[in-house]
Amino acid sequence: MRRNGLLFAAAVILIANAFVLVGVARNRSGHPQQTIQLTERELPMNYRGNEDTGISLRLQWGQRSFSRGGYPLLDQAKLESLGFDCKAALRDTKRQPLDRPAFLVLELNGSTWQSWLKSAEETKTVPDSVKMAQSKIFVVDAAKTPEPLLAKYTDRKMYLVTRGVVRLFVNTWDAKVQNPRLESSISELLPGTIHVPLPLSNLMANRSANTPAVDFHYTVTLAYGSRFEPWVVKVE
Amino acid sequence: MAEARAKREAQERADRLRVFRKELAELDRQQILVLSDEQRAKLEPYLDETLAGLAESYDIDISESQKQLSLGMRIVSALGGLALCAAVFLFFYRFWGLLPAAAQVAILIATPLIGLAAMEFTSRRERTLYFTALIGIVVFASFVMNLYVLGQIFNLIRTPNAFFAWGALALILAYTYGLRLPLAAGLICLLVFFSATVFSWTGAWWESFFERPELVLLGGSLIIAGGVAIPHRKNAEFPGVYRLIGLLAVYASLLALWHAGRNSFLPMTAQTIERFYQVVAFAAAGASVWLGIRKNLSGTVNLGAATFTIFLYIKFVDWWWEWMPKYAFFFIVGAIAIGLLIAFRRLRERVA
Repeated sequence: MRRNGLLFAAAVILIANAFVLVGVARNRSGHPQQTIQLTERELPMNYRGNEDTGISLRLQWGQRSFSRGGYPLLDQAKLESLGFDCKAALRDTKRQPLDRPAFLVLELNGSTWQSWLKSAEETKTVPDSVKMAQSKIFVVDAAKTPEPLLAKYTDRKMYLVTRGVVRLFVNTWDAKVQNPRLESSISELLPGTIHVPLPLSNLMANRSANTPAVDFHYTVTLAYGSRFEPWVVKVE
Repeated sequence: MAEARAKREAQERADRLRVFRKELAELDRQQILVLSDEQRAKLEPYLDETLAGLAESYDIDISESQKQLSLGMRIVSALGGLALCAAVFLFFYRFWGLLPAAAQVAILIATPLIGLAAMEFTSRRERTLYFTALIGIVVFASFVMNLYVLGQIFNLIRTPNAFFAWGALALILAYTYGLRLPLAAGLICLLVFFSATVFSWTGAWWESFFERPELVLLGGSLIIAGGVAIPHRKNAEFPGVYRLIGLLAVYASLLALWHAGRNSFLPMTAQTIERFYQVVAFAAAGASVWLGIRKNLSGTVNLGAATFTIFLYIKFVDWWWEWMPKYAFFFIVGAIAIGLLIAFRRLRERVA
């Protein structure tokens, strides 16, 4: 009995690992579905404690803080196509809609970034240091499945289709607004952190102690596989 | 497993013999039952030999101080297990950046497997299973680290499936070696897996599953039912663990619905839902006490009584905190505590 239990336990460990590793192999097999080059603006290094030797990057996207209503591109029709019941949310404003997973289009260094920069310069409320560190990727579209997005956004240097979680709020507290208003946001990109393996991580780990973080510039090439899970292919 | 049952029966017999000896001494002191020298000469060596035999065969506690030490050893075993888990995690994080991916994967898979071998090794050399339990905690934590870190290394998108694997391993360890802590961990993992998976079927992101506490309520109820339906002849303590985890899940989700009816699946107004679940919460806590008394389950009675009292106090805060002077509020709460004590005492006398 005990021997069987031991074998079952070992089998659970091995099967679970096999399941994960086969998934990784499937994701990375063949030609990458998407490849994109990002900089330290979009992929800043994650904080690591003194006793952590791993290097990981945080995928950071721009927040459209100059526009009201969160993401104007995620309008009511788009949100409903993602599965949100906007009418019910507006009818019963106390019942918070649940976050939903979706496929998102990230635009790199495009018109959204330019309009963000223009607004920042016009309003003069954003310090230069923030502008220098601001991520140039912005979420510009979303869908339940990736196929229409991959077909629509074909410029692979500018657009990246990835997974994420969309959140919907109903704004009832803004005194300027007469009626409840829908506001959407991206609560996270999936995965939000990207591990840098050896030997690519050496470049980052060896960063001189004399180099301040703001002066540490790098370019990372990310590849995305069939399951929309990324991996680092190059660090410069 | 059969050994665990035999050990439990041996411990029960040793406890009976110890009580018998104490009671006999008391009867002797009061001159109610005085054994002759001949009877005493037969009885005392018999008791000593039987207890010594049981202790030798099953490694059980034959005195009160031994029992207290055993409890201390169980606590040390659990704390030691947790400390070793932290050590394994921190050790890996200290060196993982220096290792290539293949070595990282090999270490992650090998750690719980080596732990399993160590569990088997120690379980063959000790009857008390303190070290086995300690290593069992480390094996479970190593497997949690295994899948979690694999997810980090390969930038995987999080799914609730890992909870199924963790739960399965923990239950296998629990049933193989008769360990309660892995059983509790396994039931919690399966509860998360069940609630999050069913929740994701609604199209929502699985990590928000507690936004709909009714799924946790359902999962907790299934765990309680599992404890009743699954026969546990060999692990008599296991149904208690099922009830504890199940009831805690049920009470936590009822409390969440009590305060946030808007998070319910029910197509009613938030206020109606909150009132409905307040009634259900009191009924559930009361039913636990009643069933616990009927079935002689002290843990269920205690948990039910404590929860009933907490629910009652929460309700008092809802009703009175805002408008009543604070001294009056605490006076009433204290008075009600005295009333509850009297009620429980009467209940205790009736049960006796």
